[in-house]
Amino acid sequence: MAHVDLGSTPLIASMQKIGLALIGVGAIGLGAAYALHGQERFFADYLLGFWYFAGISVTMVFFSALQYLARAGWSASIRRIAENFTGFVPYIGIALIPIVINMLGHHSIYEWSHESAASDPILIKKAAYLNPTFFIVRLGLYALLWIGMVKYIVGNSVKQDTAGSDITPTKRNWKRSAPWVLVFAITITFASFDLLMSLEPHWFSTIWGVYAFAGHFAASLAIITLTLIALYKRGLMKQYITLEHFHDLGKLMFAFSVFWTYIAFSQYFIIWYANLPEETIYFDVRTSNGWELFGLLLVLFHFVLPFILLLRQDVKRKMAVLTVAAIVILISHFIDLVWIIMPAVSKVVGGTHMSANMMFGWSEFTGVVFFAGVFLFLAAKNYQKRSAVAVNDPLLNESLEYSS
Amino acid sequence: MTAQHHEQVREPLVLGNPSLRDVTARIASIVESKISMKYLLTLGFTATMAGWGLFALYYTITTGIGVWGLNNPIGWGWDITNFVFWIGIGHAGTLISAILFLFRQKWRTAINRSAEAMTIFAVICALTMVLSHTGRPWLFYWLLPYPNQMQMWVNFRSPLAWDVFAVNTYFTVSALFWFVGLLPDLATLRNYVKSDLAKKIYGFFSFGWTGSTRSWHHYEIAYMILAGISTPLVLSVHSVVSFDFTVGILPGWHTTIFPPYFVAGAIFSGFAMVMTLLVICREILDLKQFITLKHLDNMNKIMLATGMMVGYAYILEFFIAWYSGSDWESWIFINRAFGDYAWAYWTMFTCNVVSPQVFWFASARRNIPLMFIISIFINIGMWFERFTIIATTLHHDFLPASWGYYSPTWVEISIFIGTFGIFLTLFLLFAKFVPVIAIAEVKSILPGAQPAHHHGHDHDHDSAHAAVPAVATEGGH
Amino acid sequence: MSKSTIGVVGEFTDVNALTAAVAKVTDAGYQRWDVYTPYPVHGLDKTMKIKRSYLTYISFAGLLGGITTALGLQWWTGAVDYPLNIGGKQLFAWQFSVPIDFELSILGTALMTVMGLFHLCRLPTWYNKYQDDESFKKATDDTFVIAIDADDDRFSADNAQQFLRQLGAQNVHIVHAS
Repeated sequence: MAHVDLGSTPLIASMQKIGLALIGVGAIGLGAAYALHGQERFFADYLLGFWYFAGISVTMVFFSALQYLARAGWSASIRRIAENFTGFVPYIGIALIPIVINMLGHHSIYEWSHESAASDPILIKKAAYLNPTFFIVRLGLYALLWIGMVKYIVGNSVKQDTAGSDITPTKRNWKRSAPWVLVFAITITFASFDLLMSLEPHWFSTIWGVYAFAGHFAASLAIITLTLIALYKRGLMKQYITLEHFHDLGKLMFAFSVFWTYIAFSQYFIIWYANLPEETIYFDVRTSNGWELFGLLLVLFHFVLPFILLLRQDVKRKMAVLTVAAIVILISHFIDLVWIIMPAVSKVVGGTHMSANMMFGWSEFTGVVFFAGVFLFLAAKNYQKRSAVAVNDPLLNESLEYSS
Repeated sequence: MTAQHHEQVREPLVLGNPSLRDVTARIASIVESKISMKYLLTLGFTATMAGWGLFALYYTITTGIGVWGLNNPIGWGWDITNFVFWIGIGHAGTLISAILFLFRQKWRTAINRSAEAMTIFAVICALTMVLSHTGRPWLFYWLLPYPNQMQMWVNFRSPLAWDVFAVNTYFTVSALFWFVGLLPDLATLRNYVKSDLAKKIYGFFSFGWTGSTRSWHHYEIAYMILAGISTPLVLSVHSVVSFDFTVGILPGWHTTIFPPYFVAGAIFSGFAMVMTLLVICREILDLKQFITLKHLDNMNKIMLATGMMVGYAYILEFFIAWYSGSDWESWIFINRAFGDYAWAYWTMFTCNVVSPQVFWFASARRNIPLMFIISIFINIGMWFERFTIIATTLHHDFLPASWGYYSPTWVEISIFIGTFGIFLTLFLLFAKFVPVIAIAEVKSILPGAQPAHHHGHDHDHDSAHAAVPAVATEGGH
Repeated sequence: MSKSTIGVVGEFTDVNALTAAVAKVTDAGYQRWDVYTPYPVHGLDKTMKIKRSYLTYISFAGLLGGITTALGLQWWTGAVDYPLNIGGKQLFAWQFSVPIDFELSILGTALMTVMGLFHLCRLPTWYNKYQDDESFKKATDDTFVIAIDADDDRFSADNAQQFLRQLGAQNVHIVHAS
């Protein structure tokens, strides 16, 4: 089948333009945040935006690897959409540089890197793991492994486009997707420990990696759905998208919103019930000074709304509902990260009491806007480079024929 | 070109290209064949095991729980280990019937019936364990909220009360799901078998199912709903079981990853048990046509995946125990790996994490003796996982004065053997008298069983019409 | 009593021919008729223009009933009827009620779904007017059977038989009450 070249369509052109515009606006915004709010909040905002889109881009590679691992037929014609959104992955190393600079500065957002940590009885015990050098080495390692993953999985997928009836590239992915999924599981876990959990260095939770994954996966599905709707409405890729794809994506968005809720509730519930001071402090800080509002919004946007919107069978085929649900999930992911990151940075200790000041305003959007721009711009580049559909995938026919 | 790919990449799910009649005849022949001596002997053996276990239970109930090896500080021993073990075994059935159904994994049709049966039997074993653990099982109704002369209610703040609801719901829903799945097949047998008595029995239990399209319409929706609710149910059941441990504050038990980790472990152990029995079943009942190497291959992959998840949790627990900076946490894990129960810990680790690694190799995933051995290893390993969790946390309490060691007595061992007897006896009866393969479902995935074009897209006017390419190949659904 | 006519049946073995025939029977305007198949044939219910089942609403009622029972039970017994301080824990809190709320919602949904299914399919009914017909018996095995009931307003034994034969049905015959 002929390649589907969407590189010169208005949709991709505007994707690129919007990407560039967002990069500009975001960069100015981040600069203003630095100038007006100081370096600490700037770095927190930067981290927020970075982790939002870095996490999603890496999860997009995982999405593709998972389809290979499961030999999924249904997704063959839409898998490239996820693969094109991995454009940011090779640049994650560069985007991490400000975080490294922050670490090397004298008062980073990571409390454990402060001089005072040396006299903290708990933090001394963790110094073998939580120290700037090892932290930077680990970040470098994640960045490299993620590049390897995207080069292998997406690389083979693209190679299949021109391989004719030889399905060696696909076979390679079938074979090697499992170890890459394993690499993904380990790196996303420890990256979420390093970048987010260690913002509160005294606190710990074994489920944290699963929690991070669940949020990113739901958000990735939302972005795939929105893109698919945009392509569909414009009649692009028409012969490759069926209503069944929307149905399945709706189902997956529903499932992973619920899965996130399950993981989030498990974490909250176990800590709430046991009520150990060193653990409850995390939720204590986040349920006072107005942060409780974010907690409630999180329940509303990450669980209640997606659940109600996507529960019925027939709505999973309605573009309007899917669009709303996907946007709700993307907002919820933002709320989630704000709720995790900002109170950790605005925390104040007064005697035995610990709380976090409200720290939320325009500047929290700057990092996300900037990285949204990077994310879209680099995705648009991918559309210009390659076919928008894995046209030569051996399972493509199944993807077009199946029905539920 | 792509059609050729199609041939290469998908193995058939049913071998030998049988007709619809062949499927009916094949499954019905198991039911209709004469009961062999071999079958009777096996049944006698498992029934003896069950009887021996029931005798040990009788002895426990009439004498008291003191006949077990429990002591202070170890108040939970083999009873709770076996309870969690059996509940876990059940999870594979629900996973195969519900989650794989929702994910359109058509290969499930050959194995879902027997896996669901195992779920029900495993939950029966789990209930046996947990009821005997109460010490006075004849007062089981105290676990339920009912108005009584003491004016007392169940303590809903206790995770043990949640367990009562979770396990009973699980049993009820699994049994309903199983029965709904059986209805059409029982009707098939009703119309097919020759013996009058069998006709009457299958006729009674098939409830007069006719295969009417108007009924199938409701039926498919009901099946979808039951699959839909069984999926979160299966996650919740083992999560609630994990709450028995996690909501307390004991080091080694109180850790946030427990709910998903328990669920992964449950699926892992359940698949191992399904594998152990299916490998035997497909030999003895000659079901190789339906339960192909492809099915076994897929199951081995799931075992590898869930085994990795369990391994992920083992390693993460260790890391966070150290990372927490809590002396209690760190110590309990060092003790787990190097203390009195190190032998149990390393048995668990070897069986659960190391042994399934052979399934990275495609040839190992299709090697029947090997997968049989590995599945038994996993059964053992998953039992030891629960034992390790329970014993290592309890045996060294916070004060050295309350340190102890626990070993089971012959009574506990006999009861455990007895639960295997119950499980296997029920399974043998099932395999002989109930259709072991979901007949209607297997028929529905045979090549050519579904219309080449079907027009299922006449949906609401505001949802845009999808382009359905006019490519018609067999078995595209 | 003389043998009365129950209906006319015809057999199909090819699923594509069946689907085409079912569409024609639907178009002919018959109301009281059915297709008996050994497994659910994709799209046949839509071809027959069967109204969408309201089973989902019954299930949803079960869900609401389950969660209401769970919340009511835990709150009333714990905080109202017999408030008892256990370890200083709250008498009622939404957090600890979640496991049972969830389980009873599922239980309620499952029970209502199965009862709803039985009601909608009229199960158990250990009698069917076609039950002694050989074609009908094969419908749970390997044959697709179209049956047009005699109590349909448009029914006439001759026309129905001719119609089914035209559509390619085999072994078309009248079923009499025994």
